[in-house]
Amino acid sequence: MIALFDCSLMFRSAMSVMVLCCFVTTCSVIVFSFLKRKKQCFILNAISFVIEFFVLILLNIIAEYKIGNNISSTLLNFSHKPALYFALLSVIAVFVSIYSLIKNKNSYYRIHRQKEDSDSDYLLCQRAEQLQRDNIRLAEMNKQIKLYGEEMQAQIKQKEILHAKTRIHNGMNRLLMISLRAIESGDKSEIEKAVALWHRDALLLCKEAESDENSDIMNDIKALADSLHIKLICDFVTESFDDNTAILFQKSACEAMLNSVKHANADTFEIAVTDDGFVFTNNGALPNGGIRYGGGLTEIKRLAENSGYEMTIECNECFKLILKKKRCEDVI
Amino acid sequence: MSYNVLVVEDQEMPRQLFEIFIKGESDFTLASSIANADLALAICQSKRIDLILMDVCTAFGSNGLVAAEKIKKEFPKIKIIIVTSMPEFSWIKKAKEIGVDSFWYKDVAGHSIVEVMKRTMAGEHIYPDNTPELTLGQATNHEFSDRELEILKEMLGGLSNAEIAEVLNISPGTVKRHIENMLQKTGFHTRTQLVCEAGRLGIVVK
Repeated sequence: MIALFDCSLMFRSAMSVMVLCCFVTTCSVIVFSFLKRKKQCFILNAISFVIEFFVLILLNIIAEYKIGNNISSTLLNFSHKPALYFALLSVIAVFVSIYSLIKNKNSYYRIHRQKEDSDSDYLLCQRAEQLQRDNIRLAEMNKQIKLYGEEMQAQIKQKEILHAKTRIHNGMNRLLMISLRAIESGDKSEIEKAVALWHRDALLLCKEAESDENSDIMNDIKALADSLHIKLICDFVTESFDDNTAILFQKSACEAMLNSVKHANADTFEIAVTDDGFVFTNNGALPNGGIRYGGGLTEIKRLAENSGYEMTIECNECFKLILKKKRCEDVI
Repeated sequence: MSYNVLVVEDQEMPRQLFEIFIKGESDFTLASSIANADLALAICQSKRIDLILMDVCTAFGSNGLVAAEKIKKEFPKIKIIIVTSMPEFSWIKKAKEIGVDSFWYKDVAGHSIVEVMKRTMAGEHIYPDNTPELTLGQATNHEFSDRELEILKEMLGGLSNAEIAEVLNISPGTVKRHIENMLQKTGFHTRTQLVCEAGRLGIVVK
């Protein structure tokens, strides 16, 4: 350090301090750019630092040749001019460093963005793996569904057998109760009825007769007629209706019966089942001033149309509600 | 005084058993016995009925609770006992809302139906504390929350998560979370399996 203050003490000292400051600043910029991963800035500053260092050595060599001192011991021992040049060069190097820092100020964010991009790539990769796992799971589930579907057939068969057993069980239970009542009453006709039912159920078991699934329909209609105190005439054997027809039959019969009591004061209600539909007749008063379609009749008409039937009302000698199945050509 | 009883039950065996019980009691008279709940109101309009034993799922898809509601509106004095074997979670609540007097599970040991009928006519309201316990996969129906059962009920109707969310006024994410919870509880792998089993057991009925 003594050598620093050798020639023209103030000037050389000032130059030396400046060179040291520039040296420290350049080093700081290099360290900072390295830590912050500012690649371009780091390279630029490193190059400028190396140039600066070699220029320093070169200037000193020139100076020593001129002065005749030992190079190694006077690394920072400048003459006037080389010291000034080196100081200027150092200042330029600092400016270059600062400029490179400003220019690359967004590189940090770029790196972060790149990091985010790589993060999203990683997430995408993870999702793709998850998707693959889900696909495998889905394939297993589909396999299970397929098996379930195959088993379903067997289950349906089992269920049908169970239903048949339940039906037989119910039938036997009903027969036993009817038989018990008949025996307790001692009425011969009741006993004969029970025997006939036993015969019918025996045939059923032999699959020589079909079960009457819709017996509830007539039971309910009879119960309603009984509560309305109206005589019910229905000389037909209840057929096995499909669900829609059964609903239509029961609803229309009940509605017609209620109307015949409410609006016509009828005391007899007749139900006839024809080849292509049903006819409900009552012996009450005929409507005055045409038929009024209230909620009940409108609902029956809608139901009839949905089930492929046509509803007509006749009021010639007695009130008739006719539900007739539409023919194919009518439908077309 | 003898009370007139209307039986609304579509299954033959329970109906006949109810009839036998009623006929065996001097306090009660069998007024009528039908299979379709839709006809119950018409019978009440034409006949004096004091008590109705009403099943929920009756013939041709008619609903006993709907019929009970109509009857209670027109004839509030008629006592109604809901008799069912289905452990559907919402029926007890619905029955209470309608004003049904008592609720009786067919398959659960406890009060006999005759006892329930007598106590109901005496002015008591007899309701079970909870639905019967049934096993659904690795869980029981009591392990499900009301919200989960509501979602399960809508699933039974074939609704998608978004549609269920709209019906129940919740987010589709919540629906999905509830379904995942139910699958986790039961150990079932698919929602189809969950819905099929719940529907088969009658835990939810649409």
